[in-house]
Amino acid sequence: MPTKGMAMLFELFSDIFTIRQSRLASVDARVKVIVALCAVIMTLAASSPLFPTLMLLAAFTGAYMASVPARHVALRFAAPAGTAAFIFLLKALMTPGEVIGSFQIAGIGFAATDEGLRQGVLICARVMGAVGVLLLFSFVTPAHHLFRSLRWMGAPKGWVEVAMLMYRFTFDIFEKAVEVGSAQRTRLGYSTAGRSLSSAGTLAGAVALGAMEKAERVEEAMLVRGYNGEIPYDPPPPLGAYGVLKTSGALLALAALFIILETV
Amino acid sequence: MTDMKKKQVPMMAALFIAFMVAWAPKAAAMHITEGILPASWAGIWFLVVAPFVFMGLRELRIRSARSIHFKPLIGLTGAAVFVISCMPIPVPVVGATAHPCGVGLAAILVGPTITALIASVALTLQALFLAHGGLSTLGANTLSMGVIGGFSGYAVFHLGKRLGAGTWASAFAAGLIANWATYSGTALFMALALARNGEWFSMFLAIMAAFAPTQIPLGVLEGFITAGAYSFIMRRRPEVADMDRMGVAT
Repeated sequence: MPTKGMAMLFELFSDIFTIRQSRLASVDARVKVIVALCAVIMTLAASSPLFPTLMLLAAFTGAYMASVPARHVALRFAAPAGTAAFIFLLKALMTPGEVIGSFQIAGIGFAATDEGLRQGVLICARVMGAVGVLLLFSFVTPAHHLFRSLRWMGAPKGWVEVAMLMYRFTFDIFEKAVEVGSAQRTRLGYSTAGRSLSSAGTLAGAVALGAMEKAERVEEAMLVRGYNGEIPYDPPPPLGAYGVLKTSGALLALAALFIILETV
Repeated sequence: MTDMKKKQVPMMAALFIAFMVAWAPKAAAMHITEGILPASWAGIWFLVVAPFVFMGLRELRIRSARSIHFKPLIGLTGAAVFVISCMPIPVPVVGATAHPCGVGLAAILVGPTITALIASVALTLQALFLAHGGLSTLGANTLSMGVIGGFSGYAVFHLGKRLGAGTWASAFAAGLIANWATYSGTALFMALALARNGEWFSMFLAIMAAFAPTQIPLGVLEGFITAGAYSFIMRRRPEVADMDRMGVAT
């Protein structure tokens, strides 16, 4: 069971699509970080579902332009969409207000209120809009550019170093997990509930132990290359007038859209 | 809470069970999704969790200065925990798959403050690359998983050992409690954010009731995984038991 799921996660977690040629991928990562953060904040601050819905549509369009397969987009949206649906139900049926419809299931009455539906739709739109912005950002930004931008923006050095190491080694460990899980499956390690429990524990232990053994080898390799406890950081060049202009233009456009859609 | 609202709670739970059965293969229910928390609550949880992450960073800096091995090891252990938290494992009761948190195991291996740091990094990567959780909910998610889950797992493990329980039993309890504590924290943060007119407790109960059918078996499952993993590591590399003291001044 873990092998198929792990292989799928391996594929989803990769930033492979960011190397494809697209106009968004070629934009400076710092510009994208700033614009994406502002877009998320505006989406969360919206008092009507219009702006978040626009962000969601923009995300789908951007993903299409970046040639991200529809299956990937659907898989990445699946979990947030499920959570949004649950929150919608919770808000629609548990918020006090004027009842606009009621129904019964197994003798228990349910009533949806106007205020509940309004709040439910707004939260769903915010969730999907904000997730859309983040996913579009991840589809068009290579991980190492993201880490460099975070460091440029003042994120703590130790935090960024751990993030870089974690991201880099996650793929080795995914591979190890798929390999061990595959071996367990061929030996009927997941044929019964009891065997599944035992195999899952062994798999987690093998993954953790494999990581530690790998850490020793990596550390030796890093020491040979002059590692002294800190990963060298090459600061990016200044953003420049063109970068500042692009960022300001994108933020102004977002702000204008936000104001227009909030006053409709 | 009106009578009707009280009747709605179990039905909402039933609806959620059906929903989870349908969605569990892909769901990441332990993280609060982007967009759910209002800005005020998101900000509050960032402020609450910040000291723990800075404590983790401080510990990382101090221990890295004493032991050059520490940072790569934390990066790799963090990656291992990240992968473990992505492992889709069958949950017999709901007939679908779910995934453990991994913080109980991390807290035992590297200590709770470093676990808070690892959780903040793992949750950021998950938010950006897998759409699990979100950036605005990062504070709340790190607090529930990295701090509440990590510290409770660590405390239970050492309490168990102090009370004379074996390593396997202590690790099982650490995994179980870390998982349940994480979900309780998540449910509390969601209830505080979603409730209106001060009805946060009824909302909290509704969310807990909705989480319970998957989280009770999943917590037990996480206990087995943590105990199995820790026992496996101890059999193969018993010196790892000292890893949470690597770089600590003696």
